[in-house]
Amino acid sequence: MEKRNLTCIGCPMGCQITVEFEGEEVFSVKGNTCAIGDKYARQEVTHPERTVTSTVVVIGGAKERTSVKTSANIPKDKIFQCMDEINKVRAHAPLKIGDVVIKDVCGTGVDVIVTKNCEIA
Amino acid sequence: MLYDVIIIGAGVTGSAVARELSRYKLNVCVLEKEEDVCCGTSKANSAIVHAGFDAAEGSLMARFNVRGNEMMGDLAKDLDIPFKRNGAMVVCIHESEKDGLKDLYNRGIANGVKELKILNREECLEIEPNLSDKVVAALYAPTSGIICPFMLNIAMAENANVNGVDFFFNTKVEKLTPDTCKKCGQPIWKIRTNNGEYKTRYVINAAGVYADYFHNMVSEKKIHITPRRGDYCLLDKTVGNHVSHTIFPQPTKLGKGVLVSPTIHGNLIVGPTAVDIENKEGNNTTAAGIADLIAKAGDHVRNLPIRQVITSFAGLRAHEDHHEFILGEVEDAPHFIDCAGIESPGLTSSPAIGEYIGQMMKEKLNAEEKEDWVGTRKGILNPADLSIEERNELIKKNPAYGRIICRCESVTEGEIIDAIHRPLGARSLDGVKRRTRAGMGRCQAGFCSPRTMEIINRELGLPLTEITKSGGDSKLVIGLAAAVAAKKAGTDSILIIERDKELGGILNQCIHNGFGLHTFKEELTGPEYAYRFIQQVYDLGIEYKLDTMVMDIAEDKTVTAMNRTDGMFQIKAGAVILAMGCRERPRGALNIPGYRPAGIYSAGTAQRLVNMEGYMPGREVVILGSGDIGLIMARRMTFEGAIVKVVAELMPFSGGLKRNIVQCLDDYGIPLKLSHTVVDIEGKERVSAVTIAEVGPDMKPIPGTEERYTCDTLLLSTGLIPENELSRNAGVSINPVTNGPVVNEILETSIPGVFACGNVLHVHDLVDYVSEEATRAGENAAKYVQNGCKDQEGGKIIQLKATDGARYTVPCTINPERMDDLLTVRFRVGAVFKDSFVSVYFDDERVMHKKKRIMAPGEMEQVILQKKKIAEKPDLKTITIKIEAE
Repeated sequence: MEKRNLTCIGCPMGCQITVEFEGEEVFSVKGNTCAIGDKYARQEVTHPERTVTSTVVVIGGAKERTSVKTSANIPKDKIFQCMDEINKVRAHAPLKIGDVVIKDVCGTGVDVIVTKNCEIA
Repeated sequence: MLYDVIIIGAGVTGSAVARELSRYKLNVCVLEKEEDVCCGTSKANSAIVHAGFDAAEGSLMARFNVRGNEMMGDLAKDLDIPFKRNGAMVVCIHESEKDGLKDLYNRGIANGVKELKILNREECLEIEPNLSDKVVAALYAPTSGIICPFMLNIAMAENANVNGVDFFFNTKVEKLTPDTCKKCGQPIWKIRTNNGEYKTRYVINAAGVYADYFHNMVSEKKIHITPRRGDYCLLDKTVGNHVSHTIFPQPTKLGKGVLVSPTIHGNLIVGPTAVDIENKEGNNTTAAGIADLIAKAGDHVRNLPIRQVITSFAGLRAHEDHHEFILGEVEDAPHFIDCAGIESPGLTSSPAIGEYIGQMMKEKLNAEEKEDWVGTRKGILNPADLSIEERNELIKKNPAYGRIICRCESVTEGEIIDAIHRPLGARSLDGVKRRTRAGMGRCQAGFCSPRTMEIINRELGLPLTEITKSGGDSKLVIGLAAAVAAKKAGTDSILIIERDKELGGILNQCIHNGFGLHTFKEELTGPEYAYRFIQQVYDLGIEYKLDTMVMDIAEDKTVTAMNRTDGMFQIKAGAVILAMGCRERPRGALNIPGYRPAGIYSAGTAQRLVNMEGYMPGREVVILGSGDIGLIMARRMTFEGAIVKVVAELMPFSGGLKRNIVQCLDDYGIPLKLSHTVVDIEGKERVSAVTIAEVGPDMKPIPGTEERYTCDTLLLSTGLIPENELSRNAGVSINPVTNGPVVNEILETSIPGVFACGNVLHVHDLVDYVSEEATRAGENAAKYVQNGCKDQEGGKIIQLKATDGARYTVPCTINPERMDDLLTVRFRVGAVFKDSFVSVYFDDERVMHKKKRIMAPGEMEQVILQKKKIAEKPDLKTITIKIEAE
């Protein structure tokens, strides 16, 4: 059985959580003060995930780039692959918050979406 | 082409000589190894126009100093540069050393210095109240002055250039060979440089610390120049009037000692130290040097506000072994003229040296004067000198004068464009800085560098990747990021004044997620969070002005602002809400020793470069400070392909949020070294390595713990400072702990009707609390406008105090009648507390006692006070918040 100490990132509290697990099976989660912590700890030791935020190049926009994010968390080990995809994007203005610039990035089922409006130049 | 005269070096001496030679019908050029004028000794000195009592009687130094001082007034007028005779005092702190003062007085009289006087203690204090208690007497020299050394140097060079002198930059002299003119049989010099060969009848050696190198290349009678390093600290303008005269200690063998003086631009300068070194490029500051400075200056000036340091720098004096100027033709090298050993009083003497060498060359070359020589020059216009009407006239003609680029020094785009396009214009950030002061203020170019880079890019057509801090390899970015991998409360008339070109402030560059969990119950990125509020501004039809800088807020709530289209305008406001946010603490305020190369950024500046401009500041990164922006940037730069080697934090705990340490450092295996600081920065042009060391409980580095990291970038994330310059000018009381306004329960400052919220009030960790505070400030301001001051009067005031680990509270006072039913009091703790209690005392009675598993300085805490509980205690005077172990 493996034991891991985590700092919960669910909110600024940063609870210190201890998880006992083996492979996919979690035996205990201790130290969390809410349900988010429990969920985070189980997820983090079995399938760690993160949101990726970055910027993409905009063609014909009032600005040369705009910011984007993954619409949900993606597996942690896909972060750099996802960045490679984001850096290939040439999005055309106008762009609105929520517009999809990459559909199903790296086969994660998650889209990369715009987080800042960009008007036409 | 055969020049009549070639000058080596475009410092203040070379430029003075060039200007004098430009009077005559001669072919003259200046060869300069750097990218601009004023890049060596001339750019880093005390900037004092000395009276002339210090130099040895009968010396060249004495003669040229006194003459230079005489000339400076008219020259400054002719060249349109600021100069002020503020007077100098050499103060004596031991009765036994009074004789030395008398000697100095006699020397001054012999040198021809006018108006010298010896003052007793009372007379001293009368004209300079902040002298130290030890001062017993002083020599007073009213003719001593202060000047801008950059402008003096630049103005003389510009004027020489306009009158026909060529300047060749990035041109390093490698070899001097004597030859003979085939036509006239006279001696000439062949000069080999990295940019080809030049020929000239006469060479003038004005090469500063390298003057011995060139002299010894051509002469058997060797001279020796020692680079004598002097460290300086420059203090913020808020303490620029701490003294009004230039205060010297009594001189020693190593020079005039550590002076304290106002600068011509209103800062306070302290320095220099005097350390003889070998390296002619060794203008790095040292920890020992700065410590020495601070210790010495306190002997002569009382309560020196050394915490107000905004930057430190070092200069090299060209100290000749005999401490004397060497001026004239070298005996065994005909037509080679030395201007060597030009150390203090070199800046003062420069016009006189120019005059002397000019006269000498006129005679040697039998030169005729030009009929069309113009000895005057118009400087870069300083809009601050204009009336509002004149300023508006100017903005109408050229809107660039309505856009502020450097906030700290109020430098407009118009001035920067002028600096770039005028003769011998600026090509680098430092070039712009020395000509306009953009980047010289308290944030030390944190905000303006990316904007100034954009202007240089546009005006000169230089790609951003080619723009340098100061020429050479001091490049600022390495490539494209992708390539490197109140209306609601019923007030109708609201105006938002925003200095940036869009609403949303700093959130626009905070593209990471984690915003708005409390307000919107979802994790938004900075721009998304900002847009939710911007949308409300649009929907409610609230008026706003972008690209508009507030220049002043008067106590009567008259707001003076400026932009490109409206020019300068004034608005009499019913209520003002201060929401200016904060700025980052610059390197200078941390006294990190070392060189000043390109590649040192505050984390926020780097964030703007990467996220807004799309450029990477560097490839290999060390971060000092574990503030949230630094942590976020560690991850962001890792995403874009950079290697973040280490994050060093001076304190034994992180300044940032826990989850940022987990998500931004731990995720990518970036080590966080607590109780560590930077002790050396290497790299003359671009950062090449950074050394960190562990610090002891006294915060001093522990010898032997140094670790060196090769890198090209140092990011600083060492704290945020609320931007309250406008508030201070308006007369708002500032809390020294938060550096934000003192506010009451309705977030009103010490000026009725002026409210404050967000990071200008106290630095927050979560934007949700900022918005909540802003909402309250907005509602209260609306109420204030509707009701006037009526309900502001009367009522008792309860003081709020923070003790025992709690550092401050916001608000600072409560009027129980006016408070809401529930009032959130926010505070921060000064250290990490585990399993401790937040306690609230009503006078001596503990009324709240709440256990917290962990509290850290990086995270804001709060308690909620109930109106009805306070109403139960009519005699309540003080509410105290404490951290208790049990």
